[in-house]
Amino acid sequence: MESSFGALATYRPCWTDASGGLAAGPDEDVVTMAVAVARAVLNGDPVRHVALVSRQSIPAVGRAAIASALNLSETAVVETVAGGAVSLVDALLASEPGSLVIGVEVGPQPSAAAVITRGGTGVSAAGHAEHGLPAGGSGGRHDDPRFIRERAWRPLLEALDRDRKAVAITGIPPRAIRELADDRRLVESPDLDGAPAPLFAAAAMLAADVTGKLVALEGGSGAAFELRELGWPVTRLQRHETVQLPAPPSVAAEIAISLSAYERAFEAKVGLKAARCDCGELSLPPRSHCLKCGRQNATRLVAIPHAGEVYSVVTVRVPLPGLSVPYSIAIVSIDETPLRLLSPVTDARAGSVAIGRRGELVLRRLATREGIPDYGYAFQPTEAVAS
Amino acid sequence: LRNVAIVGAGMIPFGELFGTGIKEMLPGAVAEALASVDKGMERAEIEAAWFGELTTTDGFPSGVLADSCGLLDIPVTRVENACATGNDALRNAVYAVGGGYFDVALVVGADKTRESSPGATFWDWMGLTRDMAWDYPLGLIAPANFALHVARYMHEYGITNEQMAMVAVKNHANAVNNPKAHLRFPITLEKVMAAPRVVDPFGVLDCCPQSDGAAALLVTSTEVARRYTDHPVWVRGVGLGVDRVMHAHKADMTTFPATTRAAGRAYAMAGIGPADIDVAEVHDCFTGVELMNYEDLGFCDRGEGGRLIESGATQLSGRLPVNPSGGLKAKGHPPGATGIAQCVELFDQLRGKAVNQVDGAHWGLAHNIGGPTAVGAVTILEADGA
Repeated sequence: MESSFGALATYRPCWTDASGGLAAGPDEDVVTMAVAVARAVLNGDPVRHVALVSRQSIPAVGRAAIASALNLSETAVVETVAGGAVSLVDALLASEPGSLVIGVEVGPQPSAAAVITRGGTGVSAAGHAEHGLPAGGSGGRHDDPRFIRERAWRPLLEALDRDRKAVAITGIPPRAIRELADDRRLVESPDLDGAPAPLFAAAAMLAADVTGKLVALEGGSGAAFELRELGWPVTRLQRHETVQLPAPPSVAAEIAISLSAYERAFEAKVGLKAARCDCGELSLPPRSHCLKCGRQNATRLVAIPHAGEVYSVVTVRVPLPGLSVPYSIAIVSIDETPLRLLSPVTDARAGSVAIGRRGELVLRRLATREGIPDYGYAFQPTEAVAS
Repeated sequence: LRNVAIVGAGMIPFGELFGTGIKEMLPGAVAEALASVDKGMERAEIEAAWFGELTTTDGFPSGVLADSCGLLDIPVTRVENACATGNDALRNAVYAVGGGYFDVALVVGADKTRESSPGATFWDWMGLTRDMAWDYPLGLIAPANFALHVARYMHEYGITNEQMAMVAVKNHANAVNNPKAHLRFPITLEKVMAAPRVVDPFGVLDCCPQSDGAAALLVTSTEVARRYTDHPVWVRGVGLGVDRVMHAHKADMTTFPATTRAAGRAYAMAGIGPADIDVAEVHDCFTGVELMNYEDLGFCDRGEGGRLIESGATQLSGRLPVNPSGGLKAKGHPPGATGIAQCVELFDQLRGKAVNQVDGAHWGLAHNIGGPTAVGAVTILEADGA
């Protein structure tokens, strides 16, 4: 099996937990991280197939949310795969040209990576190995790291290393990678595991101009590919400034939902689409009755720019059941349109964004309402250019 | 059309009335209003009632009013129009009496905001005022709702925190004398500005309290007014205005078009302008909102609200005293009762009997702005005689 990278992107959140490690934001999940990284590799080419690989469970609305947020055509297929690094390599090597392959890890090493594949021979399969060991790292009494390392991962690595030693080992905890590497020199890549890890390692190889073999390990399985060509564009999404995770709401409370209202709003709210009337007038949320020309139901949904500027913003500091405080909420003027959107401010310390600040509307889980993730757009301020 | 008079007005003291239910508050306010009628009025003389209540307490509002006040033989209509509820209830009664359908009507406003915790009340109000899919889960609580306007207003016109704090200091000072006020203590500029933050740019002393309260007015036709008093107060103008319900759709957030629309209608009906007003009770739910109201009601030019409060013009001793009762800020804010209580204050002012009497007050104005800043109401009252 062969494939080729078109464009590749990696994403790491900017939030930190109590230990100082990077953590997924309070409004991030597998869907929002997948969309964030996928948008960075899409360049307007039609995508026919999306494979989202993650060890985390994906919400029932996840596929629809990804299709809306990426503005996919009606015939495009979004496939979700429960798995880690090996599943991602399999999905990559099996993909048709023009596929989007995304890996997301929300856990302790939150990250996401995506690649658009092209036809060609830039990446070729370099072996697949299974071991009869039911090792899954599922925790509990079967979670014995040295046993798994010695009886699963080391034999798998030896089998995949046969012709030529790997320059990247990915998918398993960073400590195990170091122990298995012995004295070989690996490409320097962030300490990550799970589905996005092979793409982070590939990005590191591209950045270092290193071709060679990449091994992915996951439970009792291993897969390898050979990166044979360099020069593909890599986008690295990582903000300079980190933000401490807020404390959870002091009083838990269920935020009510109307499923009817949620369903009616979904395509416009998750896709960031306005209604455009035959007369040209835009409305957001979509109006069926045009306020300019008076036509009824003469509208269609159109994607609108994500860039915008803060018209007004306030910071709520008083405790409120069901919400973490403080939080900032803004009215954002959307570029190239007369439209504005009420949006929470994200990826920034509460109170740090002022009127006039520019930024992007990014898909986030704005609330979980009676167990249902409520996706919509938050305002992510543009960072000052690092000096 | 006939002129309409107010011949009686009363209210119970506003506050956190944990020990008093709505069924006790309503008869309390109605009894006060009846007792204030100079020549007396029997309950049985009331021909119809309008009841303004924002959130239902203890069940079906019209029935609760009729049942608790012994008014089963008259028609009762509940009015709900967000924070403009009180003045809108009066407006509807004025149309019915002015139109000749009734000679004597009761207008009651009440709310029991402290029947639930303050945080729960915020969620309840968001449910009343926000788009369920787009805005409701974002936590745009009532103070944030107004703060989004005031933040932009401060940005465009250079309004300062100190100018906003002056509103709180003034209204608290006025409330000290008012036995019906919820917060009867003076405060200083320093205290207001150093108070814990609720929603920037508002600290806790920039915000009105969440109050329980009830207030009532007795309105009559010209034909029967003198049967009840030799000093009626005349309802000369009523106006209601609305605006876009989503903040994202408000083109200029430094003004409340709902107020300007309501005020335009009320001034036109009364045949007067802002310069004629002697005393005003305006919707100071948050300090900065009072400054915006000055502009929307025509008391000063756009952007001049900060300078107007600084000039002292709206203090009791100024040329246009605003909120002599203490306003929502210090008298309290039970939304359904708020507009009615403003008219109770103006009834006393225009009859020369207010605790903080404005000398020679002849024209009075009451104003509300509310909901998702999408409804405004203005009532203009005139003293009897030239």
